[in-house]
Amino acid sequence: MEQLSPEAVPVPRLDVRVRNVGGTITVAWGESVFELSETAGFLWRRVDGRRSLRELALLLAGEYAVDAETALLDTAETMTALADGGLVRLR
Amino acid sequence: MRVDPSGHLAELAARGLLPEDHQAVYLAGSLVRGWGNSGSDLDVYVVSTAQRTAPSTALAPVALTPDHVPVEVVHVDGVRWDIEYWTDSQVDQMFAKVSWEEFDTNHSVADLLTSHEMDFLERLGSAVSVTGESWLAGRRTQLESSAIRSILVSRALNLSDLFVEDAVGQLKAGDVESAVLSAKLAFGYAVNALHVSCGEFGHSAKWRARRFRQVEQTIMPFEEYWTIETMRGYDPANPAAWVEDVVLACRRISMEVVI
Repeated sequence: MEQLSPEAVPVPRLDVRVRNVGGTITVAWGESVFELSETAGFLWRRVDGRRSLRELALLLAGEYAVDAETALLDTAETMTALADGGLVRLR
Repeated sequence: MRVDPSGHLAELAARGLLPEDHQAVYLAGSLVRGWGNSGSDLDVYVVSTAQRTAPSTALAPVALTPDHVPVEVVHVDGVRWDIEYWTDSQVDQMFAKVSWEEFDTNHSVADLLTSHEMDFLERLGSAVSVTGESWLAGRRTQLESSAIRSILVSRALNLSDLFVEDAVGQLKAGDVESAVLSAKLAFGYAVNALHVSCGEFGHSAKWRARRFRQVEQTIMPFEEYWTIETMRGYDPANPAAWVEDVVLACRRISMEVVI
């Protein structure tokens, strides 16, 4: 995985389709469809085009009691996958 | 303004508008909900075993067997009554369309319902019985356990998504005025989805604020809804910003409304 700057800001596409089926969030754009895990769903809810990966990771670490480094890795991995699917742009 | 259902049965019988084999008669619509005004109609539903064969004022098309619903229009004490004559079998057929089996296998199941059928199902929840209370109660229970909520939420969110896509495409193409209209439509459907998820099945835009007041939810406060609905934040110098805000509001609703 390409090393992302922790200061990169994920910006979601405006026309992403989102569904909440029984508590599981699915996001889609074009042919890319992602059924988000609980932590990925937590992150998606907080991706607002302003928070950086580092800030998102801090929220994740606080919610799930994981260390900051692990949270940053998880956040970067999730956002990279969503960016590869075209659902977010990393700025 | 509310309706008192006493006397309606006698009025129908006196006018020769009450079939002998009726199973239920109930009242619905804005007057029954207390949302009516002096110009409102009263919606009267008569459910029988056999189809009414007497000449009718109108025939409403439905995708059922028989394929129409006779409608009578009368005026009682200055109030227009729209009386629809359904058969119990037609009601069974409608419920078959909104079963979980249908929902799981047909993602366009809402398209199988005509507007009259949709109105019928939407109004069951707030109807007031004139006679045949147990019939109405049984059908309400059936409605609660059906897939109607998921079907209508999915339909409203799909329509919202389509208009969001339009709005975004139009913004990109520089067609800002069209994007504003598309965003407004997308928002209307998203709010409908929110209401349906809370059990308010109506889809008429004119009652959207009423429905919003009626539902208990934490996804969007009424003030935020009303600000968008009345376009209070719209800046003619920067319409694109309004479109983006509305699209984000639609997405938030899509994310939090559970199907």
